[in-house]
Amino acid sequence: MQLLQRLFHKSRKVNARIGVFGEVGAGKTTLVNFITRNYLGIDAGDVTGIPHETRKIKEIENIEIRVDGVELDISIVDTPGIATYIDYREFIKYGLSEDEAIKRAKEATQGVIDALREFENVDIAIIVVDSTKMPFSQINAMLIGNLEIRKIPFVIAANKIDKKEAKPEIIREIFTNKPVIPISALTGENVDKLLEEVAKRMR
Amino acid sequence: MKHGLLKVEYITRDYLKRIRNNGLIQFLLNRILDNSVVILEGSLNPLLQSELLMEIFNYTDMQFFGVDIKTIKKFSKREITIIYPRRKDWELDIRATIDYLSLVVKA
Repeated sequence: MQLLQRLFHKSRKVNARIGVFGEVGAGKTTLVNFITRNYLGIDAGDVTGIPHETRKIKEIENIEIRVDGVELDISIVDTPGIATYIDYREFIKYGLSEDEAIKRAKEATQGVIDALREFENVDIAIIVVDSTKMPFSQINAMLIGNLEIRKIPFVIAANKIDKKEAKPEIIREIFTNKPVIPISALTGENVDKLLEEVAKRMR
Repeated sequence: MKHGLLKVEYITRDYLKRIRNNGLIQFLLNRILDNSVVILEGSLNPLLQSELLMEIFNYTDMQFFGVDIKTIKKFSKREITIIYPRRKDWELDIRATIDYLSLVVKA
């Protein structure tokens, strides 16, 4: 089949909706921005350093990527960071007024609910894990467990390898037998490899 | 929600089995909203965890922020999961080793 495609210069087109999930501050929007900037010339969302910056699901459609002769027509879904609690006082530390902090906490709470519901709507997932932190959090375990039970293929992006303190090897050790790609969403290092792994699971 | 009262409830594996198919989420939710620290023998299935979180977030406000969930793999040769409410008026500090567990409330 692949030979025929090569002979006739014809590519197989695969459509998929890719969900980007992870804890707050793992770098989901930075990753989605890197991809959309490269393929569409646009940013998907703001990255400010204040927790819960992405509070609504954002879907960027019609991204055409060619990996190993296969043309992928993908939608990328940037989801709000998942947390088990949201303390509005955290936002005040970042200079927000109390009213702004309370409003942000309410929006972030709804964002978490929406992100958890989004499992039902994706074909494949990228789980973004901050490789400068200990990765075996309850949230990462819950995310991976949810995807495994629902039989949704996924790739783990061990992000922030541009930072000195990054230890992507620990993520590989902990998530043995699961696809882990060390990346820097900030510089784009290995994002192509991550997309290749995603593409493999879409065929 | 009652204020100023913290309870600790230990749920055995057998009790958990009995309620697993019969309103486990509601059972846990009621206890968390009633300021209980719930210690489960074993762990919660990831689907149930996310379902519980979605339910809990329907009740969060400026006093009650959600929960923390900690699974301790080898506590006294068994797995336990601690689910506790995160509130404005107190914080819970959990320290666990393989044979020692302490829960300290900072009000």
